[in-house]
Amino acid sequence: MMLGPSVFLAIAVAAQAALGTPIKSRTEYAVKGKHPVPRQWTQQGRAPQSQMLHLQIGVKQSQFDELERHLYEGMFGHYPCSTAATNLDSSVSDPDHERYGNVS
Amino acid sequence: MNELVKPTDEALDLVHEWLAANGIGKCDYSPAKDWVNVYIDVESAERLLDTEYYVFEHADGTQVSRAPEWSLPKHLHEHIDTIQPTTAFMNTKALATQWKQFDTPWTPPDYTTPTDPAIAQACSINGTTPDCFATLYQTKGYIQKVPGINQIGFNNFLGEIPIQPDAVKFLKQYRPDAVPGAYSVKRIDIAGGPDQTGPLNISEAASGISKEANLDFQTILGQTFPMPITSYSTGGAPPEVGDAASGYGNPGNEPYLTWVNYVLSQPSPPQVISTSYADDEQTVPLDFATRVCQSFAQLGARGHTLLFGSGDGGAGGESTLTFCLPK
Repeated sequence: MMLGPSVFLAIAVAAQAALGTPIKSRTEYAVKGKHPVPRQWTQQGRAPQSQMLHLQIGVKQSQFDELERHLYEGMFGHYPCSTAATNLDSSVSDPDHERYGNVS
Repeated sequence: MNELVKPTDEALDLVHEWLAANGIGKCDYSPAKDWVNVYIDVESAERLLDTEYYVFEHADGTQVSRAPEWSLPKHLHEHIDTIQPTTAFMNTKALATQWKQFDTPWTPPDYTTPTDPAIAQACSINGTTPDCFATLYQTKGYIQKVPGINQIGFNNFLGEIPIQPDAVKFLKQYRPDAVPGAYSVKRIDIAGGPDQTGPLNISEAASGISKEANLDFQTILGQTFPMPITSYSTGGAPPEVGDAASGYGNPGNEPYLTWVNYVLSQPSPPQVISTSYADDEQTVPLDFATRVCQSFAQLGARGHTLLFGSGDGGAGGESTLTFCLPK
């Protein structure tokens, strides 16, 4: 006998209940982050399931390399003229810089 | 600026799809949408990240919930750099140098007076003054070129607050012309950071709180008046284990990211911002440190200078260790 889709779903839900694995995902899970527990910290029990977390998800920035290029060029004073579009470098803290004291 | 650090539409769409598939429909964002914030319980987070959260206790009694290993669907690995709180065990500390109040002035036996007569005259081994700093840094008599345009800011964390009456008292004694600066400081509270313009009450004073904030405020004020000063007080640390009753009150995150995302949303923050707080390097996961540094770099690219105290122990924070970290 062929199993229908609803039976498959029931199995998936049962597996999720038993293993605590995610129900739905486009692809399978793999470890993304791992860090040793530092000294001075000791593990107690499981965290309370109802405890609230503010989860901060750092999504990859699209053009950080470009920002870094602007950053270093700005620091060494070789700054391109066409920067208005990105509104970079509106003020500088170096008193010797040509734009010191300008506020945009 | 935001255009350069904004994630691609594809990345945000995939993150939203993954959250929605796990029943999470509500989220908010940092100014450039490079941080997506969701507010969920541990049970949901464990399912979302295929992990288990445990309570960890620091030697000082601080408790946090963390997941030292967490997972993502493979198709999201290239779009998400880090998620916290998971692996970050930061326990931020103030970097005030350890000091001891002697009843009578005390000079160490191996002390020699500075060879520079100006420094010898302005500076004392028994406590420093704005005049000593100005002599050491050779800023004495400098007239600020753009007062009111160039500005300076400093950070307060851990519930530390610069106490206004203390600053007035300090300046009256050591730099009377700067007393108005104690009143004109701009105070900004972020994420429940405390504010206070009056004196500490008895129990606050006994707890030793605000020593760091007072030290930072008085040092900066004594050196930079009449430059406008901004005092940022950011809540959110030290992280504590909350429960359903305490709700979102205990986000359990270190405060730098909260602070920098706030400052990035402002049109013209001070050009120079000083921070005298730190964590042990080993407690900060590389993926998270990299992302927070990238946020600092955004301020740098806008022309701002961020100064951080290295502490007495450098990368080891305030610990006086006899071995190298990590151990």
